[in-house]
Amino acid sequence: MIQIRDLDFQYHDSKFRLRVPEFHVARGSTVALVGPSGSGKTTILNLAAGILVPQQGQVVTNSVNLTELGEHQRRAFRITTIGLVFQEFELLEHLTVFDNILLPCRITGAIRLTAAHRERAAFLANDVGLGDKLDRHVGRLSQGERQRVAICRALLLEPPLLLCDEPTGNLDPGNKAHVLQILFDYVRRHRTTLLTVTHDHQLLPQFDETIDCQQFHELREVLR
Amino acid sequence: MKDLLYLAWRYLAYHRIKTAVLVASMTMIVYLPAGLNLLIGESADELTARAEATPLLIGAKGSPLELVLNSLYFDGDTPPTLRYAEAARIQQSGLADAIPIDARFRTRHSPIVGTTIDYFSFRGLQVAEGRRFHRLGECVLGSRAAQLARAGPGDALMSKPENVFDIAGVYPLKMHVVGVLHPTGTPDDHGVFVDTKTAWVIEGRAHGHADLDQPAEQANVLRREGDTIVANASVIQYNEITAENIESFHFHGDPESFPITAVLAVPHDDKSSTLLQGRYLGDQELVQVVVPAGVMRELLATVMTVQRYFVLGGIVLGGATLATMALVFTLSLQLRRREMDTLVKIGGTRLRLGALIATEILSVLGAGIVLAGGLSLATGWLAPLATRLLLQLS
Repeated sequence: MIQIRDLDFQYHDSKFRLRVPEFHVARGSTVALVGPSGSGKTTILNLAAGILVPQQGQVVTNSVNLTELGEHQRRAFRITTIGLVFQEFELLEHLTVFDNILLPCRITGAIRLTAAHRERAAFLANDVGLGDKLDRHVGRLSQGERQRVAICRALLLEPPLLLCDEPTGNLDPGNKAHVLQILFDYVRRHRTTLLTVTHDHQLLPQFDETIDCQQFHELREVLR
Repeated sequence: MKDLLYLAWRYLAYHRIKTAVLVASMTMIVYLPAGLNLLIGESADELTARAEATPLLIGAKGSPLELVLNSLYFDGDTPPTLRYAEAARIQQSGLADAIPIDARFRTRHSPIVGTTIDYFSFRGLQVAEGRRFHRLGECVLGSRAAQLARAGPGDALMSKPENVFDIAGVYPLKMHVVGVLHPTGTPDDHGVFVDTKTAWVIEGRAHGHADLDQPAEQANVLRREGDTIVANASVIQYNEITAENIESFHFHGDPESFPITAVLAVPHDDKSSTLLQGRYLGDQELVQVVVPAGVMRELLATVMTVQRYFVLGGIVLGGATLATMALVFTLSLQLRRREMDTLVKIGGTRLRLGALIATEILSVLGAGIVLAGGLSLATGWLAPLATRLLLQLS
């Protein structure tokens, strides 16, 4: 599902540098990205999503070479192919649960919001236990509930790849287990590929594979 | 576009206090100069129209503005009076038609205008209910005066005593309402129109009382001095003119010398107008002739100067408020930077996000402009009230 080869990436305003000789995530698998802070876990997620573009190397996601696409094409690819979940949820406080879930349809301009989308949003919310809170502003939800809204938003357009950046990082143990349960239930039911950044080593046995970003980090140190 | 409008609306509705403050600021920026311009403009038009419809005004020497305000708008201080004979003098000159105006008295709510039937024809006033006055003691109400007094034909209206503490003064006159005029949107709507003679009855120059030649009244007679009978205070004076007592009403003195506040002169042509004005140019002349349009233009020139300063102040204030609003929007955008980054990550383009922000800003500006438009409309409706205020201030 994701193939990164001979990648060299550097932020233009920082000394941070990431070199990834080989990185592979199989379709339908669940993969955890681990490593210390600053090892490039989030950067790899952003590269796989086409949000960032490497200076060198190839990033092929869902059989599409993102490094050959322009910004507009990468955006179109991202909308249809990738669901993103962030550690801080990144919900819009002024919108209700329902509107936050539907946000990808409203903000992209590439997808026309239909009754089917509304139905799916309601279905997803119901599926994660938020069916009775559709009209509630997200500011009035608990942390766990917010992350569930963020997951529903990521799943609205039924993406084959789910990229999660520490989705349980801000949650208490109860909510952590619940959110993870939701994610795993979904990806297994729909054979969705899941690539997740996590610091929580207790969760690792639940993933098919764990990739330690320390290796890219060590390489970076050598290069210095 | 529908989605952007929806998202913008949700954002503005959620931050309703901030939105309300911004919309109110925008409303004030637009409304203050525009509304003031409209208000002054409408009032000026109203004042000018009335003045221009009145060719010449003759009154006792004094303030021309006071004369115009009192005689045309039935407002402001009462000017010095002139003799009723002046009206006859103008009429006899053959240069103009003369309509006397006596606007010194009031009812509780409205000015009483003593005049002749010719005034109705000159101003084009039409009776909506009832008829014009024919007899002493009758009055016709302007539409607004009728509303304020809640009176119509068949009702009665009291004149207001000049001094309630003067027990020897003139009693208020109970006037019979015989008609109500169609609204005209002019000061005539506020008038209570009576015959000039009725105004003199209100002043006390004419009165009616029990016949002192009757045997029953002999006890009240103190002495007889030729044609004059002096009676004590127990003689009954009528404060209402009826069919039964109208014969008892009589004038003390020569009506030609009785006071009125102005004569409205309608010259037959431009030459007559010039000749008539020339007659009142002498230094010894106790009467002045004024062209109301000229007097009002002078007044409005002063008002316009003040208005310009207000508008200038409004523009400066508006500029400062706009700059503050721009700062608020900029700071708000900085605070929402993370939100914008998220929207880009989930598929929004910078262009579309720009359109979303623009929609929010334009919605606030648009709402402010629409509100300012509504307020300006309301100001237009309030212009007559503002005109009256303007007259009182002047």
